[in-house]
Parts: sequence; structure tokens; C-alpha cells
Amino acid sequence: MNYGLYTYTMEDIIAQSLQSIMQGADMDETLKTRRHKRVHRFSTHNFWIQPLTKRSVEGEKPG
Amino acid sequence: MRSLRVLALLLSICLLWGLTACSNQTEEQPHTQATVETSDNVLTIWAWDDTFNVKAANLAKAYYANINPEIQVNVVSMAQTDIITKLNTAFSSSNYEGLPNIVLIEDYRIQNFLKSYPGELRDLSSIVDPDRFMEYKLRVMTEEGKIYGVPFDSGAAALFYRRDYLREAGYTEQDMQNLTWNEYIEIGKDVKEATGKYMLTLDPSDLGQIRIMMQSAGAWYMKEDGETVDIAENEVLKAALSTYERMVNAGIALQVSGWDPFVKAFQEGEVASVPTGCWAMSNIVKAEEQSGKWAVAPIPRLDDIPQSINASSIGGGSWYVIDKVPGADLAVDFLGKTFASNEQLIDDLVKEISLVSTMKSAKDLKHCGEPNAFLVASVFTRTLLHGRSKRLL
Repeated sequence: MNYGLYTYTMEDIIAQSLQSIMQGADMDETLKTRRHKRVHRFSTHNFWIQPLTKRSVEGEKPG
Repeated sequence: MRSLRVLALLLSICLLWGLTACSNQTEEQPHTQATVETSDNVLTIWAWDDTFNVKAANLAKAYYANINPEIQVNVVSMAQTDIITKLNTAFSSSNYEGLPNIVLIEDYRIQNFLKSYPGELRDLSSIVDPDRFMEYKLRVMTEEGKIYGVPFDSGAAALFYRRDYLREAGYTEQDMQNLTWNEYIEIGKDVKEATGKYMLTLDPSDLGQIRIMMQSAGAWYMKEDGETVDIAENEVLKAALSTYERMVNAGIALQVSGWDPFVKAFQEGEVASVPTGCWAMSNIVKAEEQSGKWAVAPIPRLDDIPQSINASSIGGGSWYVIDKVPGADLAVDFLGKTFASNEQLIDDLVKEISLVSTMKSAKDLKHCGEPNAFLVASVFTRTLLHGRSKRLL
């Protein structure tokens, strides 16, 4: 296996894809689309679609 | 060359745009401001993670002081993102003021530096005997037959877990061996129900778990050539993303953002396990009151992916010399007499920071075979050294 040059650039793309998938988007379609999209920085806020924990709702830092 | 540097600068800006918590070893520790001296008798080293890499550099400094006592070595603790930013800026502009002589660079990033900035890092082939180090580690730092780094730590992945929480949920150490991720999730549900504790942390902007899962099956975001994107048809990646989604939906994951909350979660007992690189051990043992409550098992494997095994890797770094900073020859001498060759130093690091070294002889060193009091019934280093050879690069 070869890590290559773009591990974290790719990871940004995948993180965005994962966000979409967890919002209900089709995985295959999302990954096909993301493959061609430019990398944009994204916020981690509101990232999970999981119901927020009590401490998250209260804006408390985990831990 | 000038246009290449401009191109490299633009690429760096794009890459840095996405660098926040991009590695499990990225964000950590106080941001000590570098005070760089470059006289003939002064060496400066930059590294991140005070409990691991910085501590290792300081121990190497102590060893070197016995060999070359007139040399002053400054070890500077700096967040990995800051190191990367400063290196990119300096290499792009050919302005080396303020740079260190020696710098730790993560394995994921080194090929980018070597290809984008040829000539900026010193060829260390004269001090690195390739027969002494793991081949996979050498591969990422070798260009056109020249070795540009001194291999340091393995990124072998492991499943650290709290025995007390697992027992409360009805699980023994035997139950934690060679799990699949689906089995891990089911255990996590039971742990959450029995103890109220999350099974693990997940950081939405740091997909280290995805990397661990992919590498357990020998897959990555890129194809074997390192340049061809492998996303749309990557079945291992899809399995990893599905697994991640199941973890979140199962309610077993505590969401964190960045290094410090990640560390705090396990040090304060909020999670029952930490599936990550062996380098995390130095932070786990800092919660001394938890001694004897932890154990380690092989990292889980992906379900329904036959090539996925209970071994993987995440992170890991190596030492490099910046060629154009005055003192490069001295820096080479330092590395040559410490991390590149000194087995006693490596053995001390096994004891002090639970180093899983990529030096082949490490497996035979004294402290590698000693049980770790923190991890009950575990010979941590030897266990990880075994895992190290199974699924790395």
C-alpha cells in the first residue's frame, strides 16, 4: 500500500461525504460525486446527524 | 524551480486549509514558541506530543550530552499543524530563518514534502542502515534510493479497553480478542447500558477510524501508485463508512473535536475503549489511578471484507534534518548516534514512553518483553511488535 501525497486532502472529501451519507444520501452516488468535487473546508459543527447528547446540546465540551 | 515552489505553496495552502484535527497526533500539547539558535554548538528539534515524541527527543538529548557535551540541544514542543505550516511557508519561500535543525514528520505527510520540496531535507543514507529498520517504514522516506529520515515509531493499531467497564457489562478479556467491528459495536451497546459509558470517541473531522479500517484490509484513499484516487469503487472504504455510521447510530460514540478532548475522554474514564495507534499508550498511563484497569487486544477487523485482518496502523513519524539550516552536519551526527543506532536509547524509550520501535532489533530488547503494570496480563510492546508486521504498508 502507498499512502501517496494526498491523505488529508482526500480525508476532507471523505469527511464531507460521510456527513451527506449520514444525512441519508446514497453512498455510491455521494462518493461518485465527491470524486470530482473541489475540496472545501467544512465546519465540524452540526456534523453528526445523531441526536445530540445532553452535554452537546448544552454546548459543553465533551470530556 | 521558482514556479515549482509557487505551485508547492499553493498546494500547501490548499492542504493546510483542511488541517485542523487531521491526525490523532495532530493538535496536542502546549504551543511552545520556538527560540531557534543556529550557532555551531546549538541544535534545535521540533516535535509534537509531550508525553511521547518530545519526551523521546529529550531522552535522546540526554544520551547525546554524554557523547558531545559541548552541544546545546533545544527540544521544542509544537503542535503538528504548526510544524507543517512553518515548514511549508519556509520551503516555499526559501526563507529558513527560525526553522529547527531536526523535525519530526508524520509518515502520511513525508512523501508530499519530499516530492514538493526536493533538496530541502538532508539525505540521511549515511547514518541509516536499511537492514536495521522495518522496510515499510523506510519506503515512505526513500526517494531515488536515498533515505531521508531516521525511522521512529510504529503506528501499529490496538484496541485499548477498560477491563472494569467491560466486566461490568459481562465481558472478559477473552471476549475482546480478534473482534469484528460489528461485534465491537454490540459490545459497546451492552457497555453503554450497563455502565453509561461510551465505547469510544469519534471526531467527525479526523477519520482515523476510517484509516484504521481501510488499512486492515490493505486499502487506502489512493490506489497503489499513490496518485490515482480510489473512492467511488472502493468497497473497503464503503464498508468502513458503513461501520462508522453504525457506530454513531448505535449511540456508543462520544463526539469530540481535536486532540485534547480525545485524550481527556479516556483519561477521565468517559469511554470504555480506545481503538487507536500504540503511541496513545503514553497518554493512557498518565491517568495513574487507572493502573491495572486497562488491557489491550488486537484491533477489530471489518465484517464482510475477507482481506481485513485484526491488525492495522495509524500515524507514526520519523526524524528529518533540514538541509539548509546551519548545523545540518551536527544534526546528522545527533541522529546517527541516537535514534538511528542506539539500542539502549530505544530500550529506555520502550520503558519510558511505551515506544513500539521500527528498529528491527527492538523485539529483542530487555524492556520489550516485560509485562506492563498498567495493562493487566499484557506484554504491551511485544504484542504490538507482533501486530506491527502484519498489516502496515
